[in-house]
Amino acid sequence: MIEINDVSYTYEDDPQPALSHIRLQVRPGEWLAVIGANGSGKSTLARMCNGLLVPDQGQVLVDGLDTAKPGEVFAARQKVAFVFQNPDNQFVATTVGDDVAFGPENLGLPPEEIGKRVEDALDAVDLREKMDKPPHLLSGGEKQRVAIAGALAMASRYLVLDEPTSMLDPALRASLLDTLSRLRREKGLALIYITNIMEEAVLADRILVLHEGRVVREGTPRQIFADGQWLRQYRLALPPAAAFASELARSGHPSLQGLLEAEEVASALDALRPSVFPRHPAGTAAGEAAGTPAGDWQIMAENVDYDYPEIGIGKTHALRRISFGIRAGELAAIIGRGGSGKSTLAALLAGLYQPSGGKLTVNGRQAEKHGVFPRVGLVFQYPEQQLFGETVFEEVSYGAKNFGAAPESLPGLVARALDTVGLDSSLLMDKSPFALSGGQKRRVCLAATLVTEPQILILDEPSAGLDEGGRQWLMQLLLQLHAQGKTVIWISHNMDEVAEFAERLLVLDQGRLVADGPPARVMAGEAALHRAGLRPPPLYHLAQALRDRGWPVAADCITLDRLKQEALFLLGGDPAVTG
Amino acid sequence: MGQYYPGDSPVHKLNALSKWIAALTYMVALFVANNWLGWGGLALLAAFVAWLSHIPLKALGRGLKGILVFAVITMLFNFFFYPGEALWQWRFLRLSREGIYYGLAMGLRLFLLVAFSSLLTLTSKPVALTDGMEKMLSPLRFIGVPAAEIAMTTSIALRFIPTILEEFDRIVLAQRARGGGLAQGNLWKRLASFVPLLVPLLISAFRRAEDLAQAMEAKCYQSGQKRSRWRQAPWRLPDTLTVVLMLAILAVLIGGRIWG
Repeated sequence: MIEINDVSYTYEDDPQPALSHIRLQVRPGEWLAVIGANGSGKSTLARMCNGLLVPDQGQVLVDGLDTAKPGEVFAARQKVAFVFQNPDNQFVATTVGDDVAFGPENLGLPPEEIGKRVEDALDAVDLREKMDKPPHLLSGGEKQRVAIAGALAMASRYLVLDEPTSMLDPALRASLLDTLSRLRREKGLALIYITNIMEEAVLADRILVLHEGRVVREGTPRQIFADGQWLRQYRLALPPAAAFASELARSGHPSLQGLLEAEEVASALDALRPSVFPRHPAGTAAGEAAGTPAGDWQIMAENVDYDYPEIGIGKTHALRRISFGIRAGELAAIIGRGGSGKSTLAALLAGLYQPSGGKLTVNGRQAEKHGVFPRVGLVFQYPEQQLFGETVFEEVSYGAKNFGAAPESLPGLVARALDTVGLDSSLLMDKSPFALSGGQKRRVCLAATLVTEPQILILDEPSAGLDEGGRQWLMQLLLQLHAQGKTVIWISHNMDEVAEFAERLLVLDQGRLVADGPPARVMAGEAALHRAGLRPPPLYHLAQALRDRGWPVAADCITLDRLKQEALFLLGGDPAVTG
Repeated sequence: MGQYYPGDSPVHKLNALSKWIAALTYMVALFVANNWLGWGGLALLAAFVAWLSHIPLKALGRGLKGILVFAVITMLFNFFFYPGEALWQWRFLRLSREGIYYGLAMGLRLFLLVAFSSLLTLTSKPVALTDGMEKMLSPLRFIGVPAAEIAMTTSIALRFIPTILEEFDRIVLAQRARGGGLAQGNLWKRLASFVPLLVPLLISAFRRAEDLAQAMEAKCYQSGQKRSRWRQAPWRLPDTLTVVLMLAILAVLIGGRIWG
């Protein structure tokens, strides 16, 4: 058992305690999920479990071993293995096998024993055939499985995972979770699972909710998600099916209160089935959005190819015969698994790469060597990794200056850009961007692109690493820019997010454009999505479960609001829809 | 230097330690040799090992392009600036017999040095390379050289070089998207334009180092601890013969220098 007894911890450079008076016990074989907004202390708590951090106050015992005692911490670490968020930065050795062997080597085990453990551990995560591969030939999901194999090779009893799926696409995420629950069943491994994704938390036996370093709730998923109202104040949200059930319960159908899973929600709803379903008024059930905006093509790709550059080490993915057009003012999302060419396409649209075949026209121009398209802004993935400025002003003004803005106009431009992203320029202008919180850094980076006043804004996974509150804020910003008439294209691997906010989806698979259309239509092509390594959002499954029960649910019901509206309508008349 | 080129040749099969010893002996031999007979012999030896390793010339040449240019520049520099009796002169450029001699010798030595070392890296897996390095350095432990730590550091550097180069590419692209890039103009401007590229690169390297340190600690790594090894490299007869042969060649060259 891991016992955390009244533990408090404060980082050196931070006045706020990261953890205060945490009491927690993790039993062998248990699956504990820890949720909480960014900065709530989740990662700190995770690092307490194996003595990477030692409490300022209180005590952590792993099967009776005190992590604060130098003589005991190594024995404790053997029992508690760790899988970190970033798959790249935890890969120590030059091949898969050597990386799994690294832990047992540190324990000084004999070579034959290490060999056996390496093979068994790689078998358990289905990576035996990749034993001699170097890390750069593995996918993110495979690297995370190597990390899990490392834990198995140490014969650990507890596995701490710090947001292990946050950098993975939907299919890899699902398969990693399958591997974890199988290992837990077969080997009795206890899981301490830090996550921002509520659907993953639902899989646990028990959930711990952290807020500002304190445990604010603890209970089974059913207890935690029984009523979602209180989650919002902690910048968290209900898992999608539970959110739907809770909304319907509040709209006069209390029997759905507290339900969690799509199937049980569908069954409970089916119990309320009216004798005859009302008919959809003509014209609203088409499932298509109000229509694509008219106007000239702002972006036109005709049979665009992109080949790997001969020289250069950048991990760019080839594109094949990509054709599509985007009109001014569209709001589109690009989806696809890791390595499908999404980021390459974004770089092409910004003019950073030139197509090696076909024709790409953006704002009436074609890409030139070493140029970028004017009035096209591209925000990279994890843009805070490109911060360099001594002050926020220097950082944000960099782009405007490079594109030739007059020096005297810079303060005004910077203030306006910061204002757009909801930051107070008078407070932040002279601060170092590195001193800001993670969320604020992300906002500064967005401002640093918005300052160039792009007509077309392209963002590569802009919500990656943000908590639910941060994601909601970001999506509102994109909608606001879209409402101002800007063309907004973003890359995402969050299917909920694109279902709810995108007007159009472009699906890439192995460098080809395999689907293009309104989200409802793209999601309905489930087989094609699966082939592309994607999964429809959870509410799609709920809608499908209702259809299986004979409910005439319209095709466009892939967002919470639409599905709720439809369910209420079908249950017997919601004046908002019929009237 | 070339990255590992998988193969099954006699050179691939040698223990990395014997290859390290061979490479070091070769290096010393290059600078002990002081006549064309010696250099020619060493060049033949390198060609023989290259042939024995079954590595295609193309793969071998890829890693040697850079050093070839460097060797030619060194050679030309020696041609024209080495003091000696002028054969031909134009302004400050003076070609002398001694210059030609030393230029050719210097260029050849440099080239052979890198060519032979890259045979070591081309025929050994990175793990074997650093394990062999640790073994080679281990006698120095007694004078306080942290052999295991040096080998671990080298192995991590090998592992992260591609990652960090990739990262640099990304940063360059990201700043170009914001209209940045390497500036034209005076030296100061050029240096200043490096800041947006280097600052993020350094910060990311430190962040990676921190993450990696945690990952290693979490797996019970501790510097100075006694570790075991999963991969055991056997020491076989060809290894002994290689080392004996290399030492013999060195001895002959030293002998030639003393008595010749």
